[in-house]
Amino acid sequence: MEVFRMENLTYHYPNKATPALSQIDLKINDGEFLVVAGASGSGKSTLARIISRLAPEFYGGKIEGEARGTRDIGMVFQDPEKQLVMETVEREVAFPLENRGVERNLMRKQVLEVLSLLGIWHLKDKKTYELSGGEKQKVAIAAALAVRNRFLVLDEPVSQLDPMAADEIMHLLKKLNDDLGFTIVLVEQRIEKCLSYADRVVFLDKGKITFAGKPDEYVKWVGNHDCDFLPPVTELFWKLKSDMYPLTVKQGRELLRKNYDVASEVFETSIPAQGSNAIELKKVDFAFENGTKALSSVTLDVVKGETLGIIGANGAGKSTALRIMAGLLKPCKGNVEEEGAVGYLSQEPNDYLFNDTVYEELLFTQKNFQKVDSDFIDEILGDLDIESKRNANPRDLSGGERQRVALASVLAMKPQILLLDEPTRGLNKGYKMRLASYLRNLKKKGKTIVLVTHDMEFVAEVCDRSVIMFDGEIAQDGTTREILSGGLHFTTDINRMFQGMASPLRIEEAEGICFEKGREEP
Amino acid sequence: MCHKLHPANAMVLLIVLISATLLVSHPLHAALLVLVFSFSVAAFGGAVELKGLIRFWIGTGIMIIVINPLVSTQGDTVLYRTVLPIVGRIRITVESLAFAGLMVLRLFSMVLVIKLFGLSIDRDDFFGYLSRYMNKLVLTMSMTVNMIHRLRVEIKRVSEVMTTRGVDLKSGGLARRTKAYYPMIKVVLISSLEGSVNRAEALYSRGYGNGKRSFYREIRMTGQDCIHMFVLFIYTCVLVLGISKGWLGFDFFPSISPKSGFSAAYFALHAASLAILIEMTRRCSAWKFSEWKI
Repeated sequence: MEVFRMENLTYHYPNKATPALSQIDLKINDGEFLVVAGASGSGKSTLARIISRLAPEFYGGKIEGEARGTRDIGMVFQDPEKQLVMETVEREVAFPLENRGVERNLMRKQVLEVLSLLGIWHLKDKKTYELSGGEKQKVAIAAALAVRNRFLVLDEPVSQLDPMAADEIMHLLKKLNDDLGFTIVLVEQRIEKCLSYADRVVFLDKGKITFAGKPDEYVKWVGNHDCDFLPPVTELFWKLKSDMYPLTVKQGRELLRKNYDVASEVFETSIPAQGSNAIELKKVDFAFENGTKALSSVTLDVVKGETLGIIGANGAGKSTALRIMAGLLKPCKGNVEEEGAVGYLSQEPNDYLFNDTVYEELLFTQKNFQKVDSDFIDEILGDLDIESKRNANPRDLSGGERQRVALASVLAMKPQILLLDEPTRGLNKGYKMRLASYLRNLKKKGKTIVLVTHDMEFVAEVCDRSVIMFDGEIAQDGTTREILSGGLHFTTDINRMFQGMASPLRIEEAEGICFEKGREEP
Repeated sequence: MCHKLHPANAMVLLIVLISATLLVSHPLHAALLVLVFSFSVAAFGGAVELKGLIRFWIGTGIMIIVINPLVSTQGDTVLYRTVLPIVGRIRITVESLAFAGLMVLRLFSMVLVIKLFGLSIDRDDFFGYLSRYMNKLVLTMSMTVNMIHRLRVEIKRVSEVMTTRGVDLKSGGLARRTKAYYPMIKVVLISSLEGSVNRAEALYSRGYGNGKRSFYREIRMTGQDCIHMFVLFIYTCVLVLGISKGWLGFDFFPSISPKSGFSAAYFALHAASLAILIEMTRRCSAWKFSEWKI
């Protein structure tokens, strides 16, 4: 049964000549799990706003064509911080019920029921600002469900969460869809997180739907167009020209065992960089003003020209360590030394954007360091694929584009040491690979790079060495291969799939060791 | 069940204490307000925040004491007199210094009253209660409060980012610093406005303002709240008495003199009524009344 339909829908935001969505025809069925994929700035979030009626009812703008269907839709946004309204969890969940004038006893029952359903009963009396990112998103989902909405629209709900919290939210959505028949529309750039859950995938490009179909059809379509929007496991089998395309690690492992021989190749481990240190942390302790201990006796040397990845769960102290390296925080105990100019990219790209154009944004950094070089600005804009946005206002760009402008404004100062906090947030795989290639080039030029990330694929791609942090301490320090190989959680999907057979980290490595059964190794 | 001060009581309390802060100009009474409010904030569980507020107060206070005598040249008792190029005639008087002192006390009183208000209410109840009568105002308030909160967090974060982009926020004269701070302020304001729009979007998507609301928790005026309101009334009477008799007033210009003689008895009455009001508020906020078996 159809619950929502758009016919020939075109939508312009107020004062915008170019439509954000153009000639959209889309039908959503009851109980369907629909994944909306596409590059950053392709119109995914706008589509979510149209379905939830926020556009044009909240945003204004001009709409042509037709959008009709249920209005009982719950919306969950990307940023868990910005969508919670009340102070306590229980009241937050009750808030939409209060707005609908639901009678008090019924309201209480519905709140308690939804808290139990989502397994967050224990959070009932907690303050919303005390919750972790994953817990906040669960509360936002609970608030959307409390009013008995059976239709949820989620706009990149896991993009700001660590992998564990993201998995929890995805499992929750699957459970709501499978067990309770909820209709889910999930806007997501990290397709590997959700493709296996989808009944149907819609792909947007420049505001138009360029594909709509089942996940296996999507794999074939996108494989022929742009592998950047395939999960790594699926991409591997696409590249191996397999007849079947697994969507999950488990399916991939089964297919591998059934149809392929895996060569027991020992992969090259990056040689530890030699030379003097660019950064030295010696027995560094740090605690925040409220007394929370963030780092405990951290000793870390980063050799000049090395690319170091810092990984670990949320709250492990990764970003604090990076801010100490950047000289933004002073350690309570211990010493920090750096050699060379430091460029720092924080987690929040909006903190960098205030000029009227992207070009001026980069120029601002260069002027501060008296290093004005227009050609270099053009080079960076080209490398990060934002040259077309040169004269655009950075605040008008999509999340992924803003991220690239922020990074470009740091690179514009030509730093010797580059400290990047979650540099791949909001970027699709294509841009991630371009960024990886760009960072590798910087490394060749002798730059030292330290990055904090949850993106294991990116770590495997660019880092020579990695450290895992837990609870403010360094738990393991070694080459990236040592750290990621055989990891249960902190590893790549490809490595997870090959566990017990081999230890490739990247698709290219895996491709070279898989041979169809019956064929001889070349 | 968590209980806090009834939202109506909290509103009246806020109005009365802010009025007291603005109307009291006798330095001893103004100092009394600061003293009682400071102890109250600490007693309400805000001891850590109080330290931060005192630091802010000292910094701003010094600025007021330095700037006010330069701007205000009134007063008979001249301490220092000169003529500076551009600035012109400078005349520092005892009266203008004393008035600046009162301003400093008032500023801190005001900050403490707002802090006290925040500590004595349940924000969710307050938000729900007000939205019964003024939906749009509550939406605006929610966005503003959110924006103020975000401003504080973002100023710190953005100043870090600007420092790493080569902006020197710490050295140079006033003009140079103003120029250096400009990008930071611009980022913070834009981000805060965007944050408020996001919040408004979240409120809208949850159906806020669409029709008649119901309330998750029944907010009733209890016996305790009535007693609190009565004590509040008594304190208001004490204030009115002090103002009408001139005991709370003080003239700074042209020369320092109390409006009427200092009444030690009234000072004691003011102190006692204020202390009782604050203690009553604390008990109401912390649900201690049950011990009293009312």
